[in-house]
Amino acid sequence: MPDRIEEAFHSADPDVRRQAVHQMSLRPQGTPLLQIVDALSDSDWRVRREAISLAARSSEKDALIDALLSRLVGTDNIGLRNAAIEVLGMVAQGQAAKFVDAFENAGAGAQKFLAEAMGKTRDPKMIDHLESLVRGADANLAAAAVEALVYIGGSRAEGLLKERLSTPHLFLRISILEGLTRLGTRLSFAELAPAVEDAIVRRISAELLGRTGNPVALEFLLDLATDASPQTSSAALRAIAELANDPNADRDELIARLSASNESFRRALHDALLHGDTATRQGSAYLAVLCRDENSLEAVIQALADDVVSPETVDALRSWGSGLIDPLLMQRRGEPRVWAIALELAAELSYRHLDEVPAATRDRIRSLIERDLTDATDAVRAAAAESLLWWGDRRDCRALVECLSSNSHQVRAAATSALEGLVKRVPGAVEEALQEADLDGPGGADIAHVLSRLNSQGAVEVLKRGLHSGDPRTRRAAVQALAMARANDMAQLIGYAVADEDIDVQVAAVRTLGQMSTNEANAPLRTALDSPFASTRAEAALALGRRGANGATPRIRALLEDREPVVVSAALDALAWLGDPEVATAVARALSHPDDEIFQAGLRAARTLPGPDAERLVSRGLAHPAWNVRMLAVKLLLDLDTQHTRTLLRQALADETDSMVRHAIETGLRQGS
Amino acid sequence: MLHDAGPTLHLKEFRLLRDFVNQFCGIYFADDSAYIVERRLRERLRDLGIADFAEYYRYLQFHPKAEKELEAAAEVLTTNETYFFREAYQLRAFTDEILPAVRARALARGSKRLDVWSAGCSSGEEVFTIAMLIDASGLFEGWDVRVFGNDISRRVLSKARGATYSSTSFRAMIPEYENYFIDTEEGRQVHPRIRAMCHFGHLNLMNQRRAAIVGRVDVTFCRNVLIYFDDASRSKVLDTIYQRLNRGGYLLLGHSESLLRTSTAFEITQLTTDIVYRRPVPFTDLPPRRI
Repeated sequence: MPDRIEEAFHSADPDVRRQAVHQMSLRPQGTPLLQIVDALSDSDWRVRREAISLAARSSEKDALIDALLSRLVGTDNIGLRNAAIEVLGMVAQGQAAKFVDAFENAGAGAQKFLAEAMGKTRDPKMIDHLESLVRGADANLAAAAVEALVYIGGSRAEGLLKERLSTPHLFLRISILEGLTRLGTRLSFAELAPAVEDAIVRRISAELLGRTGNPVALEFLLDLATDASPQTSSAALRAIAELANDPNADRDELIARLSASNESFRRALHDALLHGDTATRQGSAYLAVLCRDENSLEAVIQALADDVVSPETVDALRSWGSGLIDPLLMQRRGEPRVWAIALELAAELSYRHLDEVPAATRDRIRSLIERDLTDATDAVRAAAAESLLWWGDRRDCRALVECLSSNSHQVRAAATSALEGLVKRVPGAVEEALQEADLDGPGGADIAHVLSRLNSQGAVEVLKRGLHSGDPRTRRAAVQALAMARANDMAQLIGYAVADEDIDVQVAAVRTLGQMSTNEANAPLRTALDSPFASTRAEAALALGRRGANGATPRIRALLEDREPVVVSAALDALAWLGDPEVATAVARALSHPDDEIFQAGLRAARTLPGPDAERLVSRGLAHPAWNVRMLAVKLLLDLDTQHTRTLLRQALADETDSMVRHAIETGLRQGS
Repeated sequence: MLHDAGPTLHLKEFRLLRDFVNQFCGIYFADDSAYIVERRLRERLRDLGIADFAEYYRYLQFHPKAEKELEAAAEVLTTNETYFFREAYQLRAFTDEILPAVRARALARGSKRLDVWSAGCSSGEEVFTIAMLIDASGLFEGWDVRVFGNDISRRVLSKARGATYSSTSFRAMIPEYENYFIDTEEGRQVHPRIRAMCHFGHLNLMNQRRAAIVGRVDVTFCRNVLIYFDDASRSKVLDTIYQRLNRGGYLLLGHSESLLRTSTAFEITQLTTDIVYRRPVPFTDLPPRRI
């Protein structure tokens, strides 16, 4: 077999050579260094790319680094050079000294490649040497060092780049600005201004200008937004959006300036909204709304329908106020999705600004809603129903209930939401309209949901009927609704649902019973511990634990041996709630368990143990490979909050790699101190 | 429609859900897209009668119907924006250079069959565009031509099968292809002759075994699909595409997409107006390499 790989490696067919290199990577004995270098020198990029993966797995790291550094300095083979840089980036961490030695023997051209490889290692220890290069006289080499510093990142690299921003070399300055852009650096306008005096440099600085938060940057960006290059124009528009979104920005001043912008800016904005990439459309939509550009309104709503609009833009649309209503109503002839959004927004805005809206407009909106409530398009019908959240009255109840029998989830959701609003204003009319509603139809679950809000005996009677529906979704909703209707005397009836053939109905019943204060709920909950469905067993254990049903302890203990992790973790949680003395043993087992859920239940239960045990056991979660488990451990330790737990968290911070967990520790320690 | 009311998706649950969905179908959402996930998944929570995203995550982990729900989640989370004759310069390369080359290869092996796959076809505009281009080229008269489109979303597949479109699908329409459409009350419908060439199927591109239903194809379009995937998933999908392509078959990606970092299996082919990828043909006509 190895002979066959050798033979294939020397084939004239690059694809055969590529496959041979792939086979080499599977050989348990590894691949000789020279063969790796040979593969990295191949004339075909696909062979070299396979060779890069092969090299990264080499066990002879030191020798490989030496060989690659010497090739990097001495070769004219571009393919080998690029491959060597990539491999060094993967394997040469902690080898700054070897790079420094290699620099001694390299010419100016080769030094550039060495700098590139240093950057690819992402090793902060490389910065010492890169610093001298970035400060050196050779602008080409300095630019390569800039690129390397950007790869490595961090505050020190960023600081060095900022320091050199005023360099007289245009080429180097461009490299630095591009680097700072990629690093996400925020420069003040004062820091950036001298660097962007040059028109060419300014064109690549749009993002940085947007991040300054300074309104002066807006003038530069407005100019760039009308640049002939779509890339520059798009970057400028995104940057203006960022500037406008800065929490410290003087929004009114910015809006005034944008609103006074010239025709070519508006055109650029409109083009970007229609043809830009997602991020550009997102930023442009925000700007078009901020500067109240009615001509772009259809494109903004189209972007909203395409789901590329940020929540800030929706807020900005709402802030437009009553002046937006007429332009919205003019979208009536547009695409159905566009009109649906326009109608919904117009209805909301006219209700919020009732005093500013002429009676004729109000009447028009009302009649449009009534008309569209029977529209053939689901999106329009849903928008009309949703609009009745604001405009609905007793006349609309029947039409909304009819919407509940629609096959469209969207229409039913909107009608449910409007009816929920009407329950607060005209409960009698809603109840009357629901009397004839079809609980067995597609909207059975929605009807149950609305009924739960009515808080009347009549509604409870209808809901009881829902428990017999042929549709499990309706039965589930009826069970949930009975709990919401605070029908406490229903324990036995809901208890039957624990034996429902549908798992979701079972789970809903167990949860509902868990929330009831009556002891009658305990018996069906105990039976649920034997359900064939793991989720039901788990929910039942939790419910009994939270209710303090000590009588169920032996059966819950037995669930610690269940084969489903969800059940074991719920049982452990429940025993912790019940204060079972056997929790400590169960915790010890859980914290050695490979399943994340069980481990997390172990941590939660460990927190209930006496002080030092709790701290010791919970802190084991800090070393768990899953970030969410470490996150839980952090939360529990912060909750325990002792001198010792704070020390443990400070120690964990030093090794923590996940940004979210780090943030949780830092914030927690700050708040605790 | 505004979808801005409902349960809040906190960062922790976002990351857990994001990773779960990513494992299932390859789509990846960066942290700053959390609001999109929140907006789109609210519909699922409501449908399931679930109160918050933490419970939804547990549902996806443990519920017996979790796999079905993952499909539903993937369905609402996928972006389905497409239109006829998207990226026309690439379609020109397809018509002028790829189709003649594929035709010649097929004839050389004594076959009169053309198979094209639109991987991640959304609502079908690309599938029908390809079929129209093949038909208009006149190169395949009397051939067995099959254009197969797949998507993970059953909703968009249903739209594709309906083959009826509104104005937004025609934003880049080329006038000389207008006669491939018939005006109907619901919108403009693709001509039955073109529809007869096109087939659709529900397929998760991450499911390598199931992808075998595609068979062997001469050309694969996978445009603006992999941009929503993370590196590992991208690599897996490319592997599937490679397996499904005939030797010498072409892969066309979106204009901003490149394989250079994700796969070594394809070779680059420079055409007059575009760069495309190709499954290498067996190498026979060069002398052996010197050692």
